[in-house]
Amino acid sequence: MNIKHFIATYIIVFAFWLLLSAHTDTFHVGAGIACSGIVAYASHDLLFAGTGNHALTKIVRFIAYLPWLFYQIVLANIDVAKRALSPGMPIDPRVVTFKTMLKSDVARTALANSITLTPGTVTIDIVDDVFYVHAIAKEPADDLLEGAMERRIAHIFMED
Amino acid sequence: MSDTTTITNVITVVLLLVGAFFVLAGTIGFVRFPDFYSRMHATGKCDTLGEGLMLVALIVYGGATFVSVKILFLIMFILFANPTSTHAIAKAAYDVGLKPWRKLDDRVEWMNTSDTGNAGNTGNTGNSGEGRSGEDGGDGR
Repeated sequence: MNIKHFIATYIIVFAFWLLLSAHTDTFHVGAGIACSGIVAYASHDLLFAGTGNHALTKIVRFIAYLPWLFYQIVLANIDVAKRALSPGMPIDPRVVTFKTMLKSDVARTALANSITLTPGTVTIDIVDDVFYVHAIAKEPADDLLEGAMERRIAHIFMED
Repeated sequence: MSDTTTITNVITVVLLLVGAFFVLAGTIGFVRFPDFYSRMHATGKCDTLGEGLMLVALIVYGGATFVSVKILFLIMFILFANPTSTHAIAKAAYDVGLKPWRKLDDRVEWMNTSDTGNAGNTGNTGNSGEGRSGEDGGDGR
């Protein structure tokens, strides 16, 4: 058991408890200390798994990535809403595959979720290095295969 | 004082309406789209922004309270959970062998046998190429 990870998890979990409970009396804080201890003991190896070195840099870069992701989510919704509401229903679904250069599970998960959140694409499966993505039309598929998002993710997790 | 309340209310109402619009669009898409996978696009995406905007509206209305912080965490949770569950359902359908719907113009019906492979796929309009990409040639999955 990694004692540093345990303590860090304990502090984060307990801070989260305080934030959500918003009570400062002895009973609630005491219950928080006890529960946080149990949860931190059970999950101390989860929170920092796969981050490897330079965890702080990765977190900062990930937070910097979020505004762009939000922008993409807005675009995705307008795009799908347009396709759903226009009378001609301009959809042309297809499954595309591409090989990823990302190595770690965290980076692949981030890419898979980002693909699902952005315009017109849903990640179906990852087999070895290959992503299976369902796209609603040709343009979103082409945008994805251009690879801008993968490069951003690679930059965040220092795999470029 | 009442001016700020009015402005807050207007922002809240606008956010709620826009959020409701996206949820409605998602639902209409769900009804209109032809198959399972394209319906996933409609529900999985429009819900993320629709719910998000509605929750932001509640934050604006409630002001800086502990409840608002909890709503903020709710938004973050939706942001992670929505694509994950969308992916899980899509993967389950794909593993079971559900074939995505294709527009039937000059295309072979979606690769139901592996030996049609890429040969049946050349009629596609403008594959983006670049070597690293391509249509799913049906590798027997």
